[in-house]
Amino acid sequence: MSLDIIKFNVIYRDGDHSIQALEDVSLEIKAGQCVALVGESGSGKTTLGKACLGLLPANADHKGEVLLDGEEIDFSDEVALNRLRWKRLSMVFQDGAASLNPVHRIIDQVAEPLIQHEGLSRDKARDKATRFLEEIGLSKEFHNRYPHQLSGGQVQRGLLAMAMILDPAVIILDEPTSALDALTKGFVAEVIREAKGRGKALLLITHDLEFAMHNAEIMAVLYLGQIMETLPADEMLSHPLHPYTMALGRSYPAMETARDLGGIRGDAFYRIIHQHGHGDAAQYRHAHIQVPKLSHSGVHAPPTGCLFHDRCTQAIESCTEGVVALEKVEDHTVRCLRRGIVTMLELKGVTKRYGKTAALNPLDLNVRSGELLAIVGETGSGKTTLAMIAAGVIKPNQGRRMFYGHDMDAWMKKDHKSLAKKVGVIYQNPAESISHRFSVYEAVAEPLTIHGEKKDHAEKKELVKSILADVHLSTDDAFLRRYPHELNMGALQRVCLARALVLSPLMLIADEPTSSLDPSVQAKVLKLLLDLQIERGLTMLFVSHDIGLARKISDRMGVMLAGQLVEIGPSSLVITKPLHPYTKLLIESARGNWEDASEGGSTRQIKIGCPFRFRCPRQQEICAREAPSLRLLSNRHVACHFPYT
Amino acid sequence: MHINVKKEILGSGPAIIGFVILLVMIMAALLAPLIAPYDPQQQSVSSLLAPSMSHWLGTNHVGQDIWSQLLYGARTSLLVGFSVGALAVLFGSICGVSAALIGGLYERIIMRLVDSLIVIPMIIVIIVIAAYIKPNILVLIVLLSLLSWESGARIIWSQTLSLKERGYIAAARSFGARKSYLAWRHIIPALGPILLVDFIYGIRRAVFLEAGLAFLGISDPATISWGMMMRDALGFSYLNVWQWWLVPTGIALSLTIVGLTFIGHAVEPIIDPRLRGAEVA
Repeated sequence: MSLDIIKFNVIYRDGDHSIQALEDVSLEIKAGQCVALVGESGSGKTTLGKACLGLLPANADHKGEVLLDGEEIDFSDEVALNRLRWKRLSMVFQDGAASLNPVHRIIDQVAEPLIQHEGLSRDKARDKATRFLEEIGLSKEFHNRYPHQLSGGQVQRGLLAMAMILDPAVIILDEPTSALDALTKGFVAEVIREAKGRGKALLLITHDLEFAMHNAEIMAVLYLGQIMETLPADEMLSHPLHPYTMALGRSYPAMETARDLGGIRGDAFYRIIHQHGHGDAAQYRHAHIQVPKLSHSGVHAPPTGCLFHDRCTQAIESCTEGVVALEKVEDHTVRCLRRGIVTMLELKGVTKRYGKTAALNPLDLNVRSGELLAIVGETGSGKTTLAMIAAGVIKPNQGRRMFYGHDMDAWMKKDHKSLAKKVGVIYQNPAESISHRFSVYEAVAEPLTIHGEKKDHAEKKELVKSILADVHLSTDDAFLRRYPHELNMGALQRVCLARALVLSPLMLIADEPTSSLDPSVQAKVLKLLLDLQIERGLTMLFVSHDIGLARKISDRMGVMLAGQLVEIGPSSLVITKPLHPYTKLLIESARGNWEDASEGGSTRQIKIGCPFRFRCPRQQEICAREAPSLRLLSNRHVACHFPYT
Repeated sequence: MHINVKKEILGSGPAIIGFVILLVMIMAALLAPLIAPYDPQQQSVSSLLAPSMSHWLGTNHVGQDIWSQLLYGARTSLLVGFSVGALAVLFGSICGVSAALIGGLYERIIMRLVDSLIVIPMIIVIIVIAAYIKPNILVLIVLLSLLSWESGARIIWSQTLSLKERGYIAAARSFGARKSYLAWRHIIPALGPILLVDFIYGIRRAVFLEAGLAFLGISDPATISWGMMMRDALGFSYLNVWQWWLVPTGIALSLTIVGLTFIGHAVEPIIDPRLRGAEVA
């Protein structure tokens, strides 16, 4: 009982142009397994589901094969197909009631496959259908109702009953939860679990990522008809490898995610292949992505290369060329020229001491392109030192720093400027970090002056103005002539932000950028940072002592204690289920529960053992002897002998 | 800390007096050829005359007009003063700023040099050197400059060290700014007031030293200088010529130094904010 989809292509013909709905989609669903197909609307999810049942409309051309239990389905043979449908391969259609026949009672519609395929008499079929519907949780008084008399959840039960009454080996569920409340979703999940237990192969088509994560084993991410990534379902939010997967996950309101919703820049609509006029087909046929707002004469570059490149925030020049193939990376397959999300910054064993005081103990850190990593921790835990080492402002005593795949120290020695151009820094105190002798214009233009860019004054002014507009500041000349002491803190910090962004850096390092702002201004600045992250794909290292704030904006969170990271992982996990007692203490203190915070004195100068042990409620004898090292535990790294599990 | 130098100076009464005095001296020096009634070098037989309408302050022992000499003496004093002040600030800021910015061995060498110059009693060294080479005015300027930049360099160095850690300079560095950019665009403007104080005290010191050296008779005898005039006048102290020869010269020198001191005193709080009144935030 398995379903194999091999190199499946679907093209919809429509007059003189065609829409490429699926391209080379290969998917394998084994018995007892649920594969979730996710992606934005129009990515071709439903087309794939329907294609498996041979239900594509007449204007669709397909290529490739679908194997059911190893044997190819012949879509041209309607008779054979009809024998197959419902019996061995069935589908729960989306839109609930709309896919039921409005003039038949629900019981008759559920009984129909029995009559058609099993040759049962009407009464026998009705009996069986009644039992089946009751099993699935639709009580008898509803059985004789028409679809429009039933609630969404009841219709969904009817549809599931229809699809499962003949006990097919493969079930395709198309958006089974889209119109359901959370409790009814639980029932669908139960049905899926039970079907998997009986060795069914399930294809779950959904945009409900959390539902897919909990019910599927494997997730396939579809974009404009291509599979961008297949990955273990539980890594969807915690460890995506394709930029599209990450962006999709960031857009999804999962319960555990505290971060504000992101989005994906730009729009995708259809992939259109068409020709103008009736000239030579070879010459006039071309393909492009049709974006809803643009008329089709607007964008005409045929999309070669990665389909996602114009929305991707880490796209490089070569992403627009050639064909990008699926590749195996870790236990995912990824369709990305750069083998998935690249590592922007990598610190390996960096240490820093000030005199005899160790500010950073050997510390490893990775920041991936496009993510926002928050570093939280108490005062003196080494957060700022870490940020400044990452920014290249201070030099570590030991360890290696890699930026964008190059050794940072060698790079800095050779050409500090070109590295500095790629890293923007925002400091804690905006008033301090702008010279009081500089006007707003001079301050924002300073990095340009340093790099000798935009020598032409008008051009420079234009750029400065556009950056100021990006950070929602005034762009009139009077404002450009203002001096820092004439501005409020919020405006000043935005000037600092503009200054950090004016060279279009790849990475932004922000050291407590909002600690001097009041909450309303802070909210504005943070919202701005998140918008910039979506639009420019800025990678951010965000240092904050405010864990409540960090959780609202970060994808990942690192918790620092006495110069080392004691817990690092997806923010949602770190916040909802902290493993390290120190993390828990920070979160509880942020909530205002200070009774747990026992007095422990300085944690800094503990040479042996866990630096947290004097304050730790869980400490045991080993904690004094041996410092715990970071280990992987439930999707994150934690350094503790006795973590909360 | 934003220091408004203009406000700082004009807000002080003595500073205004100092400026007026200095302005008068500068005018006298600049206009000397126009307002001096005689060539100050020209000797005549009518020596040691008492003041009269033709010789306002009489004549000296070789018959030179004292009033004209006084005017030309201002030229020497101020020329030496301003040149030495400027050169000392220049050396001091080049060494101080570069030492603080570059650091390392270079900084150690420069600052040890400064330390050693500070402990050497400068006046004695200058007297010894000057006594040997009898410097003309140009050599004197260079000599005084070379031996009087060190205290300024030290102040500038320490200020630069603290400026270097300022947020906006750290920010400029993180954008990839070179040291020369930092020096020109950030540090020198920020040092402005301090350089001004250093400059004024440099002038004062040089005026005083030049007069002192001339008084001791170890400068170029061909230049007219207040110090030399006082030395000559003292030779005739048994006569009453001191009233119009020694006293006006002494007053001119004292006034110049007092004027510079007043100005310097008004701008000094710039270096040390602890000297400020409470009302200046």
